[in-house]
Amino acid sequence: MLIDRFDYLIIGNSTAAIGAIEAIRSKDTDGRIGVVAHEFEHTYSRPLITYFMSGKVPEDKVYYRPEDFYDRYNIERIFGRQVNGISTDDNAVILEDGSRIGYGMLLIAAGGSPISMNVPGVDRPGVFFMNTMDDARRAKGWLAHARRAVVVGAGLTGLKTAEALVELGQEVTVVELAPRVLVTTLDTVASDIVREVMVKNGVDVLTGVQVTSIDGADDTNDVASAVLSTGERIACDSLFVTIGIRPRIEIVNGSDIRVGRGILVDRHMQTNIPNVYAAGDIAEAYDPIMGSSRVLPILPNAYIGGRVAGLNMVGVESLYNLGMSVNSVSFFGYPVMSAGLAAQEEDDFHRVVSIRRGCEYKKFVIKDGKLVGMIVCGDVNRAGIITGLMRAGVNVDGSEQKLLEGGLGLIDLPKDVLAERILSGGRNWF
Amino acid sequence: MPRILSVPEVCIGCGLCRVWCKVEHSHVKNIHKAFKSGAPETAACVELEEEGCQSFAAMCRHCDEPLCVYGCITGAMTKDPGTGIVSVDKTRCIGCWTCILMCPNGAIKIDSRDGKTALKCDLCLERGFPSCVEHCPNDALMLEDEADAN
Repeated sequence: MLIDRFDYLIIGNSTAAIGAIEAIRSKDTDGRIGVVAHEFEHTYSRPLITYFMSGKVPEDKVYYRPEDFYDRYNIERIFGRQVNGISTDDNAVILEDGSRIGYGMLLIAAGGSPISMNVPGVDRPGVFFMNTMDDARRAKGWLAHARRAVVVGAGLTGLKTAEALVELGQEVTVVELAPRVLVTTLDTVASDIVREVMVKNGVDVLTGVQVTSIDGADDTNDVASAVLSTGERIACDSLFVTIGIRPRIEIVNGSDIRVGRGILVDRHMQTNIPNVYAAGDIAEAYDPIMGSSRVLPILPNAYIGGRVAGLNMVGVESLYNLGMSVNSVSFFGYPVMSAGLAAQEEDDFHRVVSIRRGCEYKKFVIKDGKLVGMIVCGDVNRAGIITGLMRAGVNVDGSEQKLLEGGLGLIDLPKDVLAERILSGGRNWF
Repeated sequence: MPRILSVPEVCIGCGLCRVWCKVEHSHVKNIHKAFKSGAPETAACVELEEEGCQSFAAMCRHCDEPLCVYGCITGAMTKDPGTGIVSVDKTRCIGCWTCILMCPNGAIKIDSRDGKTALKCDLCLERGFPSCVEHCPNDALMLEDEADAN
């Protein structure tokens, strides 16, 4: 049964969806926009949920857009509903009860779901994911009566979860399968610095080990310890599984929308079906530094991908040119940034220059004269000038020393780039 | 569009833009008191760029496509759809510095007054008119609206 029809229908209510809504409404004030989401929440910032858990950010400040957002943008909400499939033949999204919502243009921005561990005991009370506001709420309640936590996975979510747990006064052990922390974001040197920061702040960090089972207490079913691949046992009364997320591509199962690891989109964020777009953590989109498409679940790219999709959906041709990896995060006040091929080491094709002074570290990866990767730790002011150089493909041969000394300013940019930066309202990146 | 324009041809690199920006962002907003020893830390949103005899002042462009706003993980950084002004809500900034990483002009900094939130050119909205523009001795800074009118 067709229960409604929208000019623009968006599956998902997070960053990419908001990017699309703001883009569409900047061009079309009348078209009907509907948002379907399985959560009931007002749009919120996912990275803030660990801050909510620790109490640093109260629940009423976790919102990503103000309270009147949906009214102001004239958005019709279909919340608390699961999408079961998409029928591209009759332009309809199918909900879990079989009802259908029609669309003129569709954006799939359903994000990712946390990857679980295939170990005994993973379903015990006291085991949490850190993906939704609801996860954080339930964990927060549980932690009121807990004292020792294990965090499985030392990615961004894992380490931010560990930080929040320390702030709550928990004893924390991080267990990571890879030989170092933040293995997809940083190189060995920067990983070691971050590890030191975590350890100095009281986090126990174990790398190169796996949790093989989660055991319960004698009298209850609750989590009581984690058994490691080394045979060691860590007593704990909460355990967080933060080993990554995977695109929720199952929602297009049975449709003719093409998928790889994520939903495949072109530079317009368009799928193989002309009126169906995808963006955010669910999409497999173009990364200009890699020169290929990949799933890259980071917030800035979700917004920008959503924006590009929205502009194209409303008929303003736009290209997704900004899909390189960018990460900025701070742990216990220590700032860490990386972009592009940050972990790349020197080889026949890549030149690497770096400098480490105490807890400050800078590294740049150069290929054919152009910057393709960077890491900046400790002193991060004006680091965006460097990502700007990466995005614009400016030749940096001869500027290595300035880069390392942190003295590279706008004045060092080529004249045409400088003119565009200083005199205009920023370049048109799209 | 209210944005400060820099005119490199007539900039003499005196740095008064930074001085007056710091005065405006000090607790006392008074040049005689702002820099006294023991005075609370103040902060400048403008950078003076110099190379040889070339110089210019650089600050937020209030970009048409503001990458800082797009990258902001909390929603603290916004662009007012009416005025076009990009500003940061310090009560919602958590200091992740994604805006710093996103801004291709290096126009956002860690606020040296608290070390915890982002700082950028606010066009001296509280004051009414940008102090750096008003005090530039050589007309090397202009407010764009005023430049349009000329």
